[in-house]
Amino acid sequence: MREHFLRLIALRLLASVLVLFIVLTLVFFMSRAIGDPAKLLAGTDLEATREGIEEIREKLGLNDPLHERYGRFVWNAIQLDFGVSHRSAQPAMEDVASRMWSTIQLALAALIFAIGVGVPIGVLAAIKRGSAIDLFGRFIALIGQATPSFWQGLMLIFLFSVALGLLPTGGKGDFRHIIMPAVTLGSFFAAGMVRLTRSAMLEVLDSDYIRTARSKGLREFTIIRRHALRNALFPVITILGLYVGDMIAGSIIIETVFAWPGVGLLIWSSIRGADFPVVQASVVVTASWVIIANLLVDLSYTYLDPRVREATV
Amino acid sequence: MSAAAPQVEAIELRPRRRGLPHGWRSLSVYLFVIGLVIFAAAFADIVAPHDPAQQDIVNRLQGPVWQTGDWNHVFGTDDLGRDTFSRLIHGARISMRVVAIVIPAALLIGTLLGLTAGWQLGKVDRFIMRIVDVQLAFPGILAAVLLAAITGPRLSNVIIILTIFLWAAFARLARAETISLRERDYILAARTIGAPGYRILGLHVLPNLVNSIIVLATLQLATVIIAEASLSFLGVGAEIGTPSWGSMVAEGRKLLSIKFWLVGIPGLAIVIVALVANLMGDWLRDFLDPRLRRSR
Repeated sequence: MREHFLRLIALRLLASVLVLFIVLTLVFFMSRAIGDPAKLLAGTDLEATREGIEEIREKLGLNDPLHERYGRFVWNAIQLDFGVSHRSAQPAMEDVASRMWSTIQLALAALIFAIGVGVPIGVLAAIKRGSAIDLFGRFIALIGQATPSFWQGLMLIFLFSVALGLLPTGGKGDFRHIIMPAVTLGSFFAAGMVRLTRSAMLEVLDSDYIRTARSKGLREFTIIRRHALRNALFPVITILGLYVGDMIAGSIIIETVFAWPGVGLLIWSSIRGADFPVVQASVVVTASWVIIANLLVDLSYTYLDPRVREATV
Repeated sequence: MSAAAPQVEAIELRPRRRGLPHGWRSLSVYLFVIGLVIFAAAFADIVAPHDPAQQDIVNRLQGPVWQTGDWNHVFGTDDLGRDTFSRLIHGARISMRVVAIVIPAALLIGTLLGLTAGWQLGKVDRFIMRIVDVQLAFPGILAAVLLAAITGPRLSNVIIILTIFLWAAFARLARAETISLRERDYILAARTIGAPGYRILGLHVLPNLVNSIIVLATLQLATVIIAEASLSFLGVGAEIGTPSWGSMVAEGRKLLSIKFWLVGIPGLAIVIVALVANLMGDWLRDFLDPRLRRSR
């Protein structure tokens, strides 16, 4: 059994490494297509003569054959070396690393909001099926999934910053700065959470063992907490992992709306500034997060559910 | 315990009620709204009261009709004096154009690859599913931003990226259904008499998939509309100057504190269309394919 599981972990790890490798390849070729880094480095100065550009090309190894450059890129990327940022003149990875914590903070806060709001509403909606809270929950979920986050963010800014003057419009500072970005990023997922928790809970409440628990005369609260919720949260956990990827992607939009200084804003500004090393480093970092999240979900799912454990491999 | 009894009853009644979910009246409302948007998009040049690009500096930054009483500019004008209502109608055209290409393309590619993966299994299956994994790990927005950096903002980029990132959902659906169907007796019977794979897939597997695929396609309408708007908002979607709903929000953003409507109205258009599309998807799901209800 144990050996079985270890083999599974090894297989999944291998698959993740493969995916990461493909992402690296994509990033390499896509950013090569953006333009000639040597010309961009030389800038628009009149001194940037043809020889000057040629010199930079030679120095950066841009004249080497493609496969050599690709090999070097992958080899350096494994060592987390993506070169030096054109704008900050620091190693690109350092630029990304200094922004990482902000994005993680934002994603965590959004996740807490999504779970804290979505799960209770979903559970209550299922228990009190057809009641006012059920209708309210479904309404919130529908609206949440139909509202683009950039627009919701701007509406919040208008309401809480412009009209009421309660919260700052953007940037990073004290606790008040994270409220609107986190709520905006989390809303879409909270809406999904409500729908998912509700339907999972309804399904569980319909099952035989709940009927058994009821016939034993257990209190309704105990039934919900010990028997229903535990099983209902199972699909919810799985989806959470998938949300991590969407959240990181979504953070690009949220960070530009609220000027939140995370990786998303860095990707955005470095693409605008044609800062390839930073683009590459941040895209690879972002993709790795998503890959790791998927891996963890896969494994925990397999570990928690004996049926999946038996079925795979 | 008192609450338990009616609840159980309600759940048992549910399957029978599904025959006429929510009533047909709500469907007609959804179809009316979607039809209106499609109509506006198709005949934008005739329907729109003004040229969406026509500037009118004298009447710039005019409020909507409930502030000004001026029916000439129902939703007011922007900072260049362009008519918001006309831009909104032309924006619908952009949204609908993206939807009309992306969804059929993703549906076709995804379903074909999903059927193949589920039918062949083994190496083919693993290869196709690995591509799906890569897409899951590579955020679509990143790809769009990278591509826009290469070519500049273009609507065709949005269409390509969204197609690439949406076919996977159809592939997963088609694959799962094919795997569950391929061992059924009637499929085995067809194989025994020597029917070729494409014939079995086309005649016996695909018809079982049609409902789920229609539902998924409808539910992806909102996703596509919101994605196009988001990319245009970021400036990597529709060409600069074209009145996409997303870029209208982006242009109005700098005036948010003084002219709230410039941001509010195009955003509200997105919300309404996405909401109705989702409601229609839910309706269809309950009507055509009650099994899918659980998986969402």
